[in-house]
Amino acid sequence: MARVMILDDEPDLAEICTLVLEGAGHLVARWRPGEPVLASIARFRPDVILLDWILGPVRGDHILALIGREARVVVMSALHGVEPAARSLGAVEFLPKPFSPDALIAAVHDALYLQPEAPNL
Amino acid sequence: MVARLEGHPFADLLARRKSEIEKRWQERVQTDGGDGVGLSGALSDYLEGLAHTLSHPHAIEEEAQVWLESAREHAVTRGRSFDVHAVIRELEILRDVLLEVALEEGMIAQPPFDEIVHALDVPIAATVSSYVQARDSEAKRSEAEHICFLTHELRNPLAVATLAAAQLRRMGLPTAVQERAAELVERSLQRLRALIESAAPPSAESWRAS
Repeated sequence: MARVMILDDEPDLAEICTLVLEGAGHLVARWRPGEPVLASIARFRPDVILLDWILGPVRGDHILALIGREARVVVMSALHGVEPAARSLGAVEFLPKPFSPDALIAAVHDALYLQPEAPNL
Repeated sequence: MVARLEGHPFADLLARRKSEIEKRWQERVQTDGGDGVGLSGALSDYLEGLAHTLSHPHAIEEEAQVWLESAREHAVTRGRSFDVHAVIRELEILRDVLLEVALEEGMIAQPPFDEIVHALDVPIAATVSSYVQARDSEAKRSEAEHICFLTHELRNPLAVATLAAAQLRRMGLPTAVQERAAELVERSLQRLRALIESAAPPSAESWRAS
């Protein structure tokens, strides 16, 4: 089991990702739009972060630039061309939307076990 | 035809009577029923470009680039908000005014009169072409941006529906989770339908036109 935090401003997508990941045995927390992002991450101390590239008024790349070297981040985006930029900022996995439950679970697994150890936040 | 117009007197005339030409053009456009919006703000540059064309000992077709750059810049600045037909009509009026001024100055009797006409027609044709290209380019860019935006917006509800539908196929899920997944599928389909409705052409006529 891992602690997974979802940062997506689409509440339905965050909810269904939560259902999928909880079904796979993970402990999941969702960021709510309007909450301070970094404080939410520091409070939950996730093992893996699922980050939407465009987070409403907050830009995912700005968040990634702050935490991408410190945490295992999986970037999700409907903008498929941003993968190189996401990886250059430290994303360990990239999920192009739409994706299947298996792809989501595999991305979290790979972020946890196939990437070099990252220090906790 | 490649005309050479070194030291052409019409360039001096343009510099000397520029304000008068602009005023006369404005009055003519208004009489014609136009508002002068198409070339608004660009006429002064066009006249200077024409004077430049006439003052340089190069081929007119090459010097038309001076006008062309001005026209392209103006068209891009105005985006899609101008009417190309109005611009063409305003350029025709400008041509008439310039020839009228040339006649008043007695240039009709001089050998280079054909060259003046040519010097006006070449950049006007190039200008119209430049406007049309700029308008088409802007239309394509807007369409590409709209498709990119729409694709992005469609992928989010599609992602929800894909995940939720896959959840419904799993055996042994709690009833509450199944019901919530079904609700999310329905909500996503509603969002997809709304997005498609908002982007779809309103009628068969507009579909054919596109």
